[in-house]
Amino acid sequence: MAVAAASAALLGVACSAGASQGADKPSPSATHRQTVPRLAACPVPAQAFLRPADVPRLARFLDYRHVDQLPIHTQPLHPLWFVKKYSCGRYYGFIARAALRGRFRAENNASARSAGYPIQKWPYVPLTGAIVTALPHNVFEVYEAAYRFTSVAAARAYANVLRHNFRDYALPAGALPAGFSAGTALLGSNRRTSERQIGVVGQLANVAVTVWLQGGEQLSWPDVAGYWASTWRRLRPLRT
Amino acid sequence: MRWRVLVVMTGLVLVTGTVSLVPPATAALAARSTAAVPASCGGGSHRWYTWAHSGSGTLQGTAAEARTWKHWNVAGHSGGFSDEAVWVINTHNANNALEVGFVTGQGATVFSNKMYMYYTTNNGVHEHDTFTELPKNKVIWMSAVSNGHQSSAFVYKKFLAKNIHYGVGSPRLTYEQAEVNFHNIPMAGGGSGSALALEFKTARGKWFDWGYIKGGRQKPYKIQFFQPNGVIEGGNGSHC
Repeated sequence: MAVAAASAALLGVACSAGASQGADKPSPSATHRQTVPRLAACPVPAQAFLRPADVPRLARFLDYRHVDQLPIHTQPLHPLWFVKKYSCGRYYGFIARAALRGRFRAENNASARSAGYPIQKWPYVPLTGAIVTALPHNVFEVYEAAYRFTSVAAARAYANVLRHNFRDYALPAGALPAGFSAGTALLGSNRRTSERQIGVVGQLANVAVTVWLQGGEQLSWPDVAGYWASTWRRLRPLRT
Repeated sequence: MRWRVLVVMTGLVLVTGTVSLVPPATAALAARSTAAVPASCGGGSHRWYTWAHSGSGTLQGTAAEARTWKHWNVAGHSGGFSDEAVWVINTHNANNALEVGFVTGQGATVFSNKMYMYYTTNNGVHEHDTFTELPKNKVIWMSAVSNGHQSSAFVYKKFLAKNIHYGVGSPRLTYEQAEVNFHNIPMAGGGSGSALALEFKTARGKWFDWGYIKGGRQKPYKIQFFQPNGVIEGGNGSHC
């Protein structure tokens, strides 16, 4: 029932104080107390994202410069209210060079063949198997996205939807800027051979930001902190 | 552009196991026309949809025998995801819905270039991804079932959720939807030689057919498919 109540809040209203049901604007009293943020325009600038030179151990394998569809399953004739407020986004993905060759790639290829999948340039992800146990503290995949909405409330609502899909992950104070939080997930059913994920979700005015940091069996914040620092260094100028 | 009601041919795909092939003669289950809406390519210039629905009432589930993709693609610059899914939807509240299917591409909290199983509740607010890859080009069974108090999601050989504490209220609508971001991904069992057979589950727990792709029309049910520029129901989409 608690889940249902939380879902109702997300479905009908922005999940924040001062927002009225279905409205884009905060209530007048909330507006008086808050500075109205400057809304980002489309497109989200490319320089706000990680470059290959920032992460030399990784290869960029996803380059979605125009994310046309917010990555959320919804009915096209009855979309969630904030989906209608989505306007543009970018999404980049990086994968560890160690996963592209040798025994780790051979195992990935064998798993793919067993499902009838063609062997292509990039491995099938999320990664599984020996790489997860052999390199327990390594980062294997990094995905970074920014989604621009026409209102702050819509960006907040989407960010809150994402947060609800993670388990909470407590970080040291000051590890993340205001408006950002971390969650964790296991990307598969096998606790030993499925990637661990630390997901950072946040909001910069009307832009929802996601950073998925995935890796070995014992992945924890110290393992990913450097990647987050590089990511934030580029994202920070979006903050108003 | 106008919506076009498309008559689909019946190429009956026999459902293994417990399904009766004789449709019940109840008025409450007669197919309804979709509301006329301006046709478009859905969510942006690289997105195509097909969907179909039967009737609504005390029915408890929607299921499909569908063929997993023979080929798919997540390359390119527009991002997003592609999926095929069955839904059961509360006709009084479209956000009260259970969706079950398979997907590739950007998920709410993950990226994958495999075909993997998933389900969502609340019109996509809560997404549960399995990351277990489905075999290529294989006929599978997938079902979304709810009695109003509990729900179950089944794909291929496993329950993704069994009697979870989430209910879709009645009257419930049977619904199927496919959406792709790449025009060479066949939708809805699509392309020549493939078929999609749709079923609904009565309040008494029996499964009956309600729609087909490829083959003759099965009265009194018919599948209506949204057809924007060049999308062929059950076939390959093309650019808008």
